[in-house]
Formats: sequence, structure tokens, C-alpha cells
Amino acid sequence: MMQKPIHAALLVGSPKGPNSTSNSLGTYLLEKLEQHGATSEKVYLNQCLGSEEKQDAMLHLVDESDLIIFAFPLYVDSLHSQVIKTLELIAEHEMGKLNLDKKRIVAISNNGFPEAKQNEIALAVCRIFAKQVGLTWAGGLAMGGGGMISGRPLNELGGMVRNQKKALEIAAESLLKGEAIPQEAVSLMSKLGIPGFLYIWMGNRGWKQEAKQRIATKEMYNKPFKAKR
Amino acid sequence: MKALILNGSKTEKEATNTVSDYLVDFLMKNGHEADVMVLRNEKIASCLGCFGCWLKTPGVCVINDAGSDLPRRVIQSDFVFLLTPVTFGMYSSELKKALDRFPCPVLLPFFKRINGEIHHAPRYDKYPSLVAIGVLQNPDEESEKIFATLVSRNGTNLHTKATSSIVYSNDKPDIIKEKVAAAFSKAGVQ
Repeated sequence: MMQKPIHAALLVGSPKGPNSTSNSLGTYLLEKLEQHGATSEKVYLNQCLGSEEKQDAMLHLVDESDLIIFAFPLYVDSLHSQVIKTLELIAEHEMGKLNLDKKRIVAISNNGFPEAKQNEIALAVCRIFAKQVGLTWAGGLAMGGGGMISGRPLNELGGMVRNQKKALEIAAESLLKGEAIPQEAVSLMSKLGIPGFLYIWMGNRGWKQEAKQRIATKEMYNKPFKAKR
Repeated sequence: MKALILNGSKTEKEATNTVSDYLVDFLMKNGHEADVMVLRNEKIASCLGCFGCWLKTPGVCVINDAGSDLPRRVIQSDFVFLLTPVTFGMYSSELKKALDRFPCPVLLPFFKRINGEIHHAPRYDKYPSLVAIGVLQNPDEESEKIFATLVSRNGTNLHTKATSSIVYSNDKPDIIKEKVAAAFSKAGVQ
């Protein structure tokens, strides 16, 4: 008997939606899953939470999917408020339903600092969410240096993202076999494609260049409010 | 001393509101000023991640709503109290929508190494201390550990001291009062 293909849902949790690094990473994973027979759907949380109708459609997508992938940026050391709101809504909607352990959860977190380690809390929150709701946690991937991707498709970025591409390919293979994301993928995902000092130098220079096009560079240091003494 | 209280409760009938009441009471009795925001009643949009507060209007959020004034209220306070039901080890979405709106404006985009890790450089010379009080239904070691780590990391990112405490929703009023007093003492509020 033919086995039903896995249906994967990608929930992009960046306020930048389609133009985000979260979308680039999540989409690459979806493509790899689809290449091996999975079906998939993608939603942007900044659009879903805008109306009750779209919110219900997102919850319906979660109901219908075997694998739910959250892809989001690190925001103030954890998840953006829209991602937390989504977790709260899913928990309320799913809690107490039967066979929830058959649904698997995966999270991909990226941040603009060079260290992938800074995403640990965000992934731990997703793991606890899965545990409290009764879903199966299939693992998380974390990368630093998200500024290298800046919302561009991974296939356009060459060797700079070779580790992340390989990590997502390995993750897809394991997820399709019904396994959790292996340590090899976790380690590869966290490896920056360029030296950390270079990333920091490029980042600082990039901000000054961007600012120069709109305001005087010294304005960047403005202190509009008088601080308490 | 001036305190900004960000109440992230999701409903009116939550222990988080009791914590807020005790907090305000303590502050007033000791001659301090309390600026309270019940976030579920405020119109605060989610941060857009547009970097306008770094590149267009440095230090000022470009969204025009109740959240735009948060950077000023934060910078002009000595203490910021973060009150929240603990949701999967972290803040409620109500608290986080406010919290997402002020760190970028009060910081610079540039990178700075702190304790061996990269963070954003400070815009101001001084930042208020963070005091987080999370409310859990029952003791939960894993969630409590994540919550404490998160608050401590927020302190590092905001170049300030941060302390956290946990209250259980079935704690008796006297116990909640004691825990609030202990949170004050931990944070150095007199």
C-alpha cells in the first residue's frame, strides 16, 4: 500500500515576511522535503494574525499538517511577539485533541549576531511549547550571521551558505524518515561561512553606509530623550 | 525613584494583576513614582523590523501608536518592571509586543563584544534596571530556568542589571506580597 506523503507547513515568523532570512531558510528546507515527495504550504505570520479568517486558516493548516516548521528571527533574545501569539493560539486550539504526538514540530532560528548559540532560548521555548501541548519535538536549527542572507534565496548565495544548505538537506532527509534532526545538521547550521571578525566588520560598515544614504552618519548616535541621572 | 510597570496579563482575572497591585502599593508607600501600562488595553503594533529607528529617525520608532512612546518612558525610568504569565518559559505575547518595540531605538545598530558575545552598542549612558516577575500555574523547573536565563540575557543586551522572580497563581495573597517585597530587595529598590 502506498504511504501518504508527509504534509509540511512552514510558518514564517519574521515581520519582514517574504523578504526575510527566515523565509529563505524555511523555503530551502521545504524545497528539499518536496523533492522527496512531501507536499507543503507556507504562511507568513505577520499576515495570518491580521484577521480572524486568516488566523483560522492558519490553525486549519496546523490541523492538516504532519510536520510544522517554524522559521523566525531572534527578537530581543527570544521570539517575536507574533510567534508567541501564534504558539498561544495553537496551544489553545490543539490542547486535548487526540493523536497530537503524531504531529511533529521543528524550529529554525536565526539572528544578526555572529553566534548561533544566542538562539538557544528561542529553541527551548519551542521545545517546551511542543511538550506542553503534546506535540512531538523533532529538533531545532540555529544560525548566527543572518545578515549574510538578508532575505535572499540560499541558491543565489554560493559558498557563503554552504554549511546551512547542507544542514537543511540533512535535516530534510531525517525528517522524511520520521526521525529527529541529527546533531550533524545542528552543528553545520551553526557554522558561519565567513570568519566572525569579518562579519562584525562588514556589519558595522554596512550600517554606516546605509545610514549615509538617508541621514548624516553622526545623527545615528542621536539621544532624543534625556536619560535619568 | 521612577518605575515603569509593563503589565503583560492576558485577562483581568490573573495573578499577574495582583502582583501589579502590590507593586504599585509598595512603590507609592515608599514615595516612588509608578507609571503603569496594562498592555492588553493599549494599542501597540508589533515591531516591523524596519530599522527605521536606526536609519531614518535614530532613537525614535517610526510607528505611530502607544508603543512609540516606550523608548522615552523606558529611558526616563530607574526601573522597568516586566509582569507576565510565563508562557512556555517566556513572556506573554502582550508583554513581548511592548518589549519588541524599545530595545532597537534605545540601542545603536553597531556591534559590541560583551562577556565574549556580540551585542548592540548602547545609545545612552545609563539604562533602567529590569525586574521581571513571572506568574506560573504550578512549579516547573524547566520553564523557570528558561525564564531566568531570558531575563538575564535581556539585561546584558540592554546594558543593565536584570533580576527575575516567580510567583505561582495559587500562592496565597500574603505569599505573593512577600515575593514582591523579595523581588524589590533583589533588585535593590528601597
